[in-house]
Amino acid sequence: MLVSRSKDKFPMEIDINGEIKNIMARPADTLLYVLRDPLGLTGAKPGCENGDCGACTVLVDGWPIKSCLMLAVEAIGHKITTIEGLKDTPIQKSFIENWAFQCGYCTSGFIMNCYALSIIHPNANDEVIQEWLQSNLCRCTSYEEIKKSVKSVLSKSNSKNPKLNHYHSSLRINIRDNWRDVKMYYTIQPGDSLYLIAQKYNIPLDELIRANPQINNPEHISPGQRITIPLSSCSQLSNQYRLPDPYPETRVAGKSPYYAQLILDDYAGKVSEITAIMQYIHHHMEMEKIPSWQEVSDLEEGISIVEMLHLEMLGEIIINLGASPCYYDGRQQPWTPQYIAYHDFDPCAQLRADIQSEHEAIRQYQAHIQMIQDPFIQALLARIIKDEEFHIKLFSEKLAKLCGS
Amino acid sequence: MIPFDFEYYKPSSIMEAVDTFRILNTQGKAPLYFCGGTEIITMARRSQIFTKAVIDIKGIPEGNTFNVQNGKLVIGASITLTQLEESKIFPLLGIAARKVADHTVRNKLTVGGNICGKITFRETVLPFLLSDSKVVLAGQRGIRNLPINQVFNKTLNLEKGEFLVQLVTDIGYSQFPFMSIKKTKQEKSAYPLISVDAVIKDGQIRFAFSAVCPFPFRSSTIEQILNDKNIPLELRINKALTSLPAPINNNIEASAEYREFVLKNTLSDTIKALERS
Repeated sequence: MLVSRSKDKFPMEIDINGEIKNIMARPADTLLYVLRDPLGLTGAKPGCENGDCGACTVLVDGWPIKSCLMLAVEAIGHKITTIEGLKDTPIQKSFIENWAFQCGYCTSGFIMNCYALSIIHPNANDEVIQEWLQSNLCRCTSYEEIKKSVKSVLSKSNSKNPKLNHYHSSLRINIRDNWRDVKMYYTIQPGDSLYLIAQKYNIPLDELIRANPQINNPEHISPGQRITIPLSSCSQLSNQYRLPDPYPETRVAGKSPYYAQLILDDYAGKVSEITAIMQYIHHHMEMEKIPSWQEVSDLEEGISIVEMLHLEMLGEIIINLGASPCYYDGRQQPWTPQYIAYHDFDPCAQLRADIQSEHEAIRQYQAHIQMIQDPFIQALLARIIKDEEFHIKLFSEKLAKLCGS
Repeated sequence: MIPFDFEYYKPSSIMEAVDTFRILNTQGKAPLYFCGGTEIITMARRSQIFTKAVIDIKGIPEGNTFNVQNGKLVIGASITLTQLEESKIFPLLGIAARKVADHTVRNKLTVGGNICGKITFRETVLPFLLSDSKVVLAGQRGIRNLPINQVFNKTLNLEKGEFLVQLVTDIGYSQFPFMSIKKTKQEKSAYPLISVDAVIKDGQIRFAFSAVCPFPFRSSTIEQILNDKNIPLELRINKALTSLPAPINNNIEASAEYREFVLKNTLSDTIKALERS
């Protein structure tokens, strides 16, 4: 239990504009007071201090909140963003372009609210815009200019969205098409026959033979030889690298920029699906050059495609939560290839790194399940964890077989 | 600035919260349960309330529940009005929540705080009254599950040291036809002159009101009168208004006469719309 038994000032650690600030404050101090006085962040303005004017609006986990209606102690464990934390955002530029202020006292509060609106409801209609703008008062009555600024940002955002949607659809089609068109390989094991392989993948034998014209005599195949699996007729291929349980719908209970930030970490953060995809593809390409590692190379490729499906589902969740599935983490840091554990041409080290990555991903998903109070998202993350656990099993089997540990 | 000091406690379980309240109360600190805190902060700033300790119940997991379990919609007291509005899971409740304050206040204001608050306007209780919801209360006597229509009379009748944990509603109520009307003097986000929520269940219209009298209410007598199709609509409404549980509010926002006029028209519109549906 968090306790301040003293009525006097006590130490608090608060995340403000991405920095951890250590301050001393009374339990009865409002966030507004603490931002302005001890911290000197005077962008949040004291107006009515009664929750009416909105001049003190800040973002708490992405949601605009009047800081006069929040105790500073309540901010512990949350991400606070003030006007000082916004840099060159479209809404700031739009306020300037549209002359959306006169005396400027209400401006920072309006901008924080409008910024959140553009993130949470990028397709907001007039009714939603009006609803949100009613949270702030402007005594100079710049309302028309402010509304114009918001609409200008939203229309730019909307004009971008079709591209995003188009991109997203393309991604979906590509992934789905990949299941049909990508050349998936299988390395023949001792004791294998084409008949057994066809059975294993639930594909007709004649299609398997047709897909492998290099095999002169289907009765004579050799261990180590690579054959192509015709994915278009392979109903169970996906189950080779993932569990057969169906995935839950990519639904959310409601929009939430905070939850979107968390999922963005899973999507394109350091420990993320995109890191896994890139890492496994890299390992696949290098292992492919080592004859004795063909089967692991195939495994890396297959698992990377499953991670693509995870990526797509998380992307859909991010959109449903009201954010864009760009390749940034929850702190707006772009994804970087530095996240990849390369271990150039050291397949055992690569396999160990892959197992480590899967463990880290599971831990992160488990933490997010605790933090995200949305049953739909929780169900999807729990289902993804099952796949990651399966991947650990598959990688570990190969590690034991080829590296002896 | 709040002109007095208080201690702050944030328990992580129901039991811890109840025990903390008991101990602080014994010490004479007049503790207050604190959820969204918007009302406590504004009233404290104006010295309209005083306490030596607040117990923030947002850390209690049960209070953050928001899901459907076995056909029941379970809503924790710490769920914000914006969450209700954005979820779209119970449309009437979402619209009722939207009638409270403005958007950025609703990002902080919780459903538990709205229902248990001292303010006259507690719009979110209306859908729960109409849908025969149950409340889960926690206190010295343990957990109590009670029909809201039994325990809500002008205010939620909590025992000393007791707090609202959850509201449980049959999810079927989210499908019934409804109307939710808030009439204000000028601004949309201002306090209502009158607020009426209504749903049809089994061919009968249920009504709940806020801002008409000094407290929110649902009245079976009024429902009986308004559903009596043997009487012309205008007479039904006039008769129903004689059964209000208290005199109509009369203040600077609107006179009682004007409120009555608005209420009559609103009831007429509501009944006509729902009877057509």
